[in-house]
Amino acid sequence: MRVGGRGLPLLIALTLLGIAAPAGAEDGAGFGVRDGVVDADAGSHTPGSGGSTSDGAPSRCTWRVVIADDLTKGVFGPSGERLYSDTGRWLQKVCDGEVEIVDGLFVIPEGGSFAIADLLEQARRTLDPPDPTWSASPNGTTVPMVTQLPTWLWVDGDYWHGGFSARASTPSGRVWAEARATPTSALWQVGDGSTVFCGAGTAWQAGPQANSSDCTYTFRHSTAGTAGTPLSVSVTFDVAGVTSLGGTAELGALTRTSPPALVQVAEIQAIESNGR
Amino acid sequence: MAANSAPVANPDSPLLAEVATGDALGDLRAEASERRDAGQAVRAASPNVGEIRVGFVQVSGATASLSVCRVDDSVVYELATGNVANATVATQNYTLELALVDGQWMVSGVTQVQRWEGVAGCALADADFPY
Repeated sequence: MRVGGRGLPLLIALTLLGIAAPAGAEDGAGFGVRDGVVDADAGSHTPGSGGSTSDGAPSRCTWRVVIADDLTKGVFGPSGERLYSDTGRWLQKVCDGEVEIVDGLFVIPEGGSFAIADLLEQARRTLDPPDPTWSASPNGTTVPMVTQLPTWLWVDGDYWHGGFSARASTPSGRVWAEARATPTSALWQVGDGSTVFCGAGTAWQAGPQANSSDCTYTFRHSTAGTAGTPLSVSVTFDVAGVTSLGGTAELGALTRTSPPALVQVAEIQAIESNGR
Repeated sequence: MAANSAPVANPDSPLLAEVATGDALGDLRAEASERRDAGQAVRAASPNVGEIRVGFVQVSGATASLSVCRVDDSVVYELATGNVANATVATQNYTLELALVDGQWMVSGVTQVQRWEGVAGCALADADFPY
């Protein structure tokens, strides 16, 4: 193949000068390009069409593998982003011995091309943790919460440790990106305008002191005579991206909020009896 | 560049055979011949934005393969008049195949993988990548 452009000798000379010690470089998988000629006459399953010569005779076109594994050879988008085909192979169409540019491209991705940033974005969009589930003690439904006493609040462990993730990949799964959500905080709206900012909280168990949780709220007013006070929790996640290539990425944060649940708060009346 | 530089491109320059062999050498000579026959030569641009980055080196015995990202801003001009025939800047992504000949790495094959107008593509690749 002839290579267009200016100063090919310069390219070759400078490239060779720049190779200080190729023998010390990492051994690779070797070369499969020359042996990888794909016989792909016009109309075959390979991309593009064969076309014809100027005299109307059908041209003999083949697809040859220029990049056998795009993990070990770079193919780039116009902004410098790495591109990966579904199979790892990139093909070049050769008709009657001449390279044919297809849709402005020298090489065509086998099975489509994919950029990691796009896969990460797709995974991030797909990631959809459910609304949080939570508990309280007292629970405010079967047993009312009590004014002046701390109510324990916690996000259910199965939810907090749910390990929510979403993956986007090439059709073959050869290259993939995954968005993983890690909960970092919980913000409780307790219905009277107050908020409580916590981590997961601590599930109540019989025994510990009532104030041993790091996530409690003490109601000051009874809900007697009302439908109750709406209680909800918003869990915020840090979203991290990981890829099959070993890279990581920060994908921001997302929040999920439970639907408000009406809870009852009771007041325990005490009658002081003059010291008796 | 020496084989394509003024005063006249020289396809028989021994410099070519010092760096290339096989098909690649034939291509180099053909390019120099075309340049000479067209009365053209190549010179470096001034100011110069040209760049060559090498990466993805794979070595297997006496052969090697590597990727080369080149920002080509060289200037093609007419020897007779000095008029510039081509001064566009382009970025190209090549695969070079090398052969170890008498203890020296020589280019045995060149495949253009990608090309962009201006400084683009592989020239803008993240530094975390091999080139």
